[in-house]
Amino acid sequence: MKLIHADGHPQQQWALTNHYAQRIASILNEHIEDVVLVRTVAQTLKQCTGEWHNDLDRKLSKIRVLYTRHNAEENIPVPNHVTELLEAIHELYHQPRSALYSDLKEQIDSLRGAVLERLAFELIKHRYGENDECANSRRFFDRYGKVVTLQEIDLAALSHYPRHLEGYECKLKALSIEHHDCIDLAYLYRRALEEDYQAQVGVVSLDPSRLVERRLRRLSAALCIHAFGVDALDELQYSPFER
Amino acid sequence: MQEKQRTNDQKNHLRSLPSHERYLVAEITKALQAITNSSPEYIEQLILTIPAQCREAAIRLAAQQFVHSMTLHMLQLATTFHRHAEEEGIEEDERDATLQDVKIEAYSLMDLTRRLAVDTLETLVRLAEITESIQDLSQCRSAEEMHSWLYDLPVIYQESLEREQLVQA
Repeated sequence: MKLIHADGHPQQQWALTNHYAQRIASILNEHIEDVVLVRTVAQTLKQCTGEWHNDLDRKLSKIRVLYTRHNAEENIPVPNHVTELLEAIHELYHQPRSALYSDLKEQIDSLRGAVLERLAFELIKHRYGENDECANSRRFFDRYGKVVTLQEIDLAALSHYPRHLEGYECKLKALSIEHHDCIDLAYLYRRALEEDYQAQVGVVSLDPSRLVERRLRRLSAALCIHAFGVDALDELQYSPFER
Repeated sequence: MQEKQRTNDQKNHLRSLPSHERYLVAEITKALQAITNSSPEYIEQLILTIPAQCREAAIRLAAQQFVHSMTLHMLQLATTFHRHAEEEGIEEDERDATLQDVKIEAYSLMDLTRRLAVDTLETLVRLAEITESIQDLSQCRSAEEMHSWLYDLPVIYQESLEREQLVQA
């Protein structure tokens, strides 16, 4: 099995390397156990779209209130990582338009998606070493050089020693999961087993796992496809092969 | 706008109830209006004027009102979700499964009132800030948005209160 860079979407590459998308993902990764932070930010990213984000700053100020503690003597400052995270989210929505995009709405939506892809990457990358591959936006090829995944996989990881393979589609909302996503993931899983890899494939989403699971069931997705909703993102940190 | 829509929805829904149930709801409304007031102004007056020996009880009562308001907010979200989900193409089995889950979560929110550890004005203010912020954050424009908030809201609220020790573990 091999991983090949999927370079068909320059906008996506731009979004994935965007400073603010990376910073947001990095802070969320460091504080993935903070349920309040992860879920309120996830809701904000889902609700504030490129089309409609007039109330972004109000939402950010409300998240800030949740971290503004005070006792009788003094105000306890909002933790630095929360301030930095909220500022990065504000910046994500207020950057000048890149020439790659025809309008700002499209750019914002692309960046929102990139945050989730980068977060999933941050959560799993620590278990892949120098000789392995772990990256966003890749296509899998089998040992004969034949393409395994028709579309690029949002997050792919491959290790030859030990033989481990992971592939994830990242969707802000469960409703965005399509039938072809499930077909690709199930086929990748089957080919990985045929080449003697231990494999995990799944969908990573900012919606709750219950919604993702039911969406997968409705699409008659193969049982090998795992659901990692916003309540299960922290599970991605742990290797599925050591359980 | 949202409030007006909600009121219209409630009126339309009330019309669809059997006449006996409409009568019972009207009776309950009449009784609620007649019994002791629990408006914000009333609670404020109560805390300000109650004898010092009973003040803590008034603060605890006000704290319960905040948690009740969050449960009510969640049930209103569920009602509006149910009414608009079909128009937005959310399938019937998905709506039913969600409402089943909501029922359980609503009870867990109600249960928070028994675990409240709010007995000073400082902790009451903090509870008020958290409650108001989460209700504001969960204002939704569509059934799709409400769908995921119905799952996140109880978790975010409970976790926020536990983190600040406003409820007992």
